[in-house]
Amino acid sequence: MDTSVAYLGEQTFWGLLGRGSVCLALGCAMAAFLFYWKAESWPGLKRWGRWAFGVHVLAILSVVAVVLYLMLNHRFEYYYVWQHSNRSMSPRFIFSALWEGQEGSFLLWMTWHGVLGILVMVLSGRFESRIMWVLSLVQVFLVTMILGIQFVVDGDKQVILGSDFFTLTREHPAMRNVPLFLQSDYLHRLDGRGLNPLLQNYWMTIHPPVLFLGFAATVLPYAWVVGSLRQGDWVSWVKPVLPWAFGALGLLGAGLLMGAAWAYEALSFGGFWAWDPVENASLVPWLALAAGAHLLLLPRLQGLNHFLAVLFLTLAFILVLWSTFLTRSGILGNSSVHSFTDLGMSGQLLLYVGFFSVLPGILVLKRRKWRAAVTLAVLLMGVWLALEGENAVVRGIILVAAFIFLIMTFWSATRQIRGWQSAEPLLSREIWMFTGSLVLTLSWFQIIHETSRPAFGKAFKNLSFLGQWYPADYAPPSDIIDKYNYVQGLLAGAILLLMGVTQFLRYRHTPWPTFARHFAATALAAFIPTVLVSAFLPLHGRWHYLPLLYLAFFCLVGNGLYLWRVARWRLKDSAASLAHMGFGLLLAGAVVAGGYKTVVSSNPSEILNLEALSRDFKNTQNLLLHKGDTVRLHRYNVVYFRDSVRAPRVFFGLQFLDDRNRTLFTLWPQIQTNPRMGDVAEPSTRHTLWSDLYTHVAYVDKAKLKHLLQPDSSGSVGLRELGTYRLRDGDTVHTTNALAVFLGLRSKTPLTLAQTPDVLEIEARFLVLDRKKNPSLVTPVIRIENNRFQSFAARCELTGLRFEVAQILPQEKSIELRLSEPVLNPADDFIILQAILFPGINMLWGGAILMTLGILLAAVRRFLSLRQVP
Amino acid sequence: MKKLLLILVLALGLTGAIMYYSLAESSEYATFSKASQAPGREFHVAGTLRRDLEMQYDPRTNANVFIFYLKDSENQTFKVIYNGAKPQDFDNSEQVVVVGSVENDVFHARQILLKCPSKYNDGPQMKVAERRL
Repeated sequence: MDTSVAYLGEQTFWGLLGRGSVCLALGCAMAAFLFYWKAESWPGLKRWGRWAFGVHVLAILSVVAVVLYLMLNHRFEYYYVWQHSNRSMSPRFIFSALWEGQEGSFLLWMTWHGVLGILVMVLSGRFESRIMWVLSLVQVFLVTMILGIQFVVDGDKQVILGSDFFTLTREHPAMRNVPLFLQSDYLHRLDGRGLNPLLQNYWMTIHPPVLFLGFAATVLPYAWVVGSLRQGDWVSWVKPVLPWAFGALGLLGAGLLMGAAWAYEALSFGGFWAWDPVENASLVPWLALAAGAHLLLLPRLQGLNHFLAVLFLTLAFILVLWSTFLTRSGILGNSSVHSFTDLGMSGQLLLYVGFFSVLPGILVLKRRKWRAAVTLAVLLMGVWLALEGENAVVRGIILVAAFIFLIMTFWSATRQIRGWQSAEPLLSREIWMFTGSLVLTLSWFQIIHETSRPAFGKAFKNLSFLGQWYPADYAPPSDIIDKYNYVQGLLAGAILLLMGVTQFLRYRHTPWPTFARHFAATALAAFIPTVLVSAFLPLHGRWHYLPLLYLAFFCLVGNGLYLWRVARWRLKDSAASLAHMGFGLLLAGAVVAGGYKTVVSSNPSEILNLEALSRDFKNTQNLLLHKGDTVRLHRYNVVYFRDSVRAPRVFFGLQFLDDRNRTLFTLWPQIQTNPRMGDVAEPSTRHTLWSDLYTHVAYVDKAKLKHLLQPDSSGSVGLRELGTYRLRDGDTVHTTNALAVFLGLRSKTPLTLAQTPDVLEIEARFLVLDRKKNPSLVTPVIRIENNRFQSFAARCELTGLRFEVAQILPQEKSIELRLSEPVLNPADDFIILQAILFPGINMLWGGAILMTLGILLAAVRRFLSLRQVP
Repeated sequence: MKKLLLILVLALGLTGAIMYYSLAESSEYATFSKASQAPGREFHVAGTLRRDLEMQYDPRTNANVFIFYLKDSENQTFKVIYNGAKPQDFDNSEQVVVVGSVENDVFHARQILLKCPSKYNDGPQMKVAERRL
């Protein structure tokens, strides 16, 4: 870029302030880490650590403030602001725009870490230092993600450390050779690209912060465990960590269910869950955390259970990092519907995952010498991998080394955990909690294994048998969703069964007759809701979902009975039962809504056409509706009665009538038009207590959209004559979309007094203003040749209006104007509609709310009970 | 402890079963020529949309048939019939993944995945939006 240009109006000060804050945040995180790390042996340093971390949090908040300021003031000289916002964007989406990009989501993530760090300082008591050094270290890594420093290695290789928030638009590599930036006043002409239309939805304002709070919260159990491992302490933290682990579980669950709600309300794939990598990325850590947190509840945590609890709590955070790597490195490539952005930081992300995966493994080793030796070995291996990673042999050796490292870790752990030899009676909660946590583990293992296959394909390239199993150019099998549903359905059934009975088991030993009585009562009672619900379901050909539905109700009823008979509705003892009831209800809703959803927009008359084309074409899921048509859909008569435009959104009005043609309700599915990112359909759903009617517009003709948004003279648009108007100078005519002012007549032929010309050309001048008051001049022409009157019509480019002068009336000083406005060709005036009936989806949402409240109640209760017994 | 170990072994066995179930069918991206060697079997084919050839979608006669042409990585062009509505932002996409099988030299797509290069990440040729004065 030409540096000699003096750019006008740029505010570079804010960039400096922002970058300064990022650097300060990084420095303070490092300082906090060092102080807290040393505070274990030198307690006076804890105060210093607190100060450093406090300033670190302030620095992060100042970065947030600067970015928000830049966005609110449309400072498009900054690339991030230009990329994610524009002038026409409503200010209420400013937060969505803030975290739309990667840098923004990292910022959100570390802000939450900061807030949680402050909470830890206040609430965690004597564990503060051991938690905070881990958290500070995590922050060091996270801040480097937005550092934006470039190194040149080997003379030509560029290494990017983080992506800069405050790059100027004109200096961004993508903007090279854009001529606009050669002009000193480019800023006056620059508008941002704006926010992705999919994200312009209120769910996108609340779902990401909650989800990231959940992601961030997984660091607390991790930090707690890892910090304690460093001390060789396996026991004292087990109870104090409980409220934090369950808090994280509740928040992450709430965040991911909000994502499901967003998908259902705002996306048009017709459902709430699609096993997409982004969804899996948040479900997998949740399952791991659930497994670990439940094991912590055991009154005598020992042996294998103890080991697994530590493992799962650690893994939850590592899986968050791994999922971050998968969804942000571009490695999933073609295997997802999403196109994932690669900011060129895959290496940095991988380093991040690697570091925090290895850290607990090293700290499990008890002897200093071993720790040092293994650290050195890991470093060497890492450097080797970075340099010679293309070589399959090197990768093979490192894989074997990693395996040896795992065995070493396990062996060292078994030496430190008590109770490997003790026996457990079968009818005790211990054994069933253990089994349950293993089922959860199988569940997340299958999900993450399927999701990670493209990454494994790259890692195991050319590695004999591994390479065969994991092809480098992996495509997900076409029945991948069925695969997930099949495996996860079986595992969910097992979990539900366990959840239904474990409440009735005591720790240690439960007498057999008591247990049998409770089991039988639950099993019988669960039939009632199952039968009631399935009476309303289209069971034909879908019987196989019923067992899972029964088990979901088994869990619900079992925990309900416990709440009633044993806990007697005491809030203090009912958290677990409430959460488990919520989970049962949630799964019942998922089974009913997912398994028994019915596409009701089929068009029977089209089946013949389709089957003639191919044997596959049986699913007629789309319905053609012309404007004004009335069509039978489900048990309604549907009228497509009007369109409504609120640019850039176009709404299509559908009236639903009963058999006597009384209007029951109206739905407005919409299309959000966006010339840069493509048009996006947004569904409209009729919610009722039992079932939802979900509609979305699958297709609208481009000509129709164009006609609705900016009627002009192009395309297949026809004309409708508005009538003939008699106008004097200055008169105004109103049309549907515009108004036209008659300015007067003007001769195009130069007139002289000496002679009457043979040919006389006169133009009538009209000023046209469209709906946005954009002006345009239209001049139809009259030609008089030898008393022969000829009129040439003119079209207005802006509005598509057609002007034709029919007559000139000199006596009355007026003209007669024939005016036509564009209308859509009736053949194009249609929409293609898809409508799906989701039964029982409110069970899903109700269960989600109940479960989240239950888990958070458990967290609070555990926290309060810790306070009472010091 | 013995029971715990028994359950652990069972869980490991199930893990093995899940991995086998997952790995038994490992599909890769195919080309049209590979897909036409096994007619009727489902494949993923990634390709570029041929804009020069006509896309046929006439919802007035049938809203559920959309026909277009796709060029795969070996530069072979196939006619693709999709039994569904034309995706609304199809015209903006370049890279298209079709899932389906070949029958009589025509690819019958069960599913279309669109990749809009400008949607989530930025293509090399980016336009700067200029505000109208």
